[in-house]
Amino acid sequence: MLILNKSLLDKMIAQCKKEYPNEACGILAGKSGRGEKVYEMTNADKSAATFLMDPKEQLKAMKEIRALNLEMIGIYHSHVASCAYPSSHDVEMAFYPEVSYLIVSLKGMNDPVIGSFKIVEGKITEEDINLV
Amino acid sequence: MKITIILNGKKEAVEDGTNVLKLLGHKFIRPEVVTVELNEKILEKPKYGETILKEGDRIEFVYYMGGGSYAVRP
Repeated sequence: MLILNKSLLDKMIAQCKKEYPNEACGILAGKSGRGEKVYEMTNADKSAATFLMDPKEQLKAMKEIRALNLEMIGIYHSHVASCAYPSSHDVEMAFYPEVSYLIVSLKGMNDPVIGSFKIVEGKITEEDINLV
Repeated sequence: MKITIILNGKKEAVEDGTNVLKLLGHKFIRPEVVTVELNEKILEKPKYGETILKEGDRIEFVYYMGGGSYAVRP
């Protein structure tokens, strides 16, 4: 289960809407499965169908997360026209089995849907999000 | 003989003469899916095999973080 403060979720959704029609992406930092900080990242693909985080931003964020004594607990991105479920491309690019993969669906722009998943060796498992 | 490097913020002893490609291999990391930074500069992939690590080198690696709705059914 992922524990997430509503303000962090709102921040992610706001970024996803701001980046629309392109996909947005970012990193969720925290500890013991509880989100504490959101890092908005640049989608280097600038695409409505794919995302790739800027590597320089990734390295910077990972160092800061470590300095704050936190961990990367999630990687999030938006699907602008499809459901909040990992695509085959998401699965191919899931290199961190220990983190949660969050997907914000903007299929209904006024009613975004978020899903959280663990992706381990190609197997997708949905997990609950406990909003606090 | 071993040297000490800082790998993702942690000290690690590696054999003297180890190059970046060999280090990734020891960690079971596919070089084609990571970005490697050596002493604050991103290292180009073709240089992984020719870059020999030195005492005190600070090396960071991050897996690519990507994906997207491509190929998903609406």
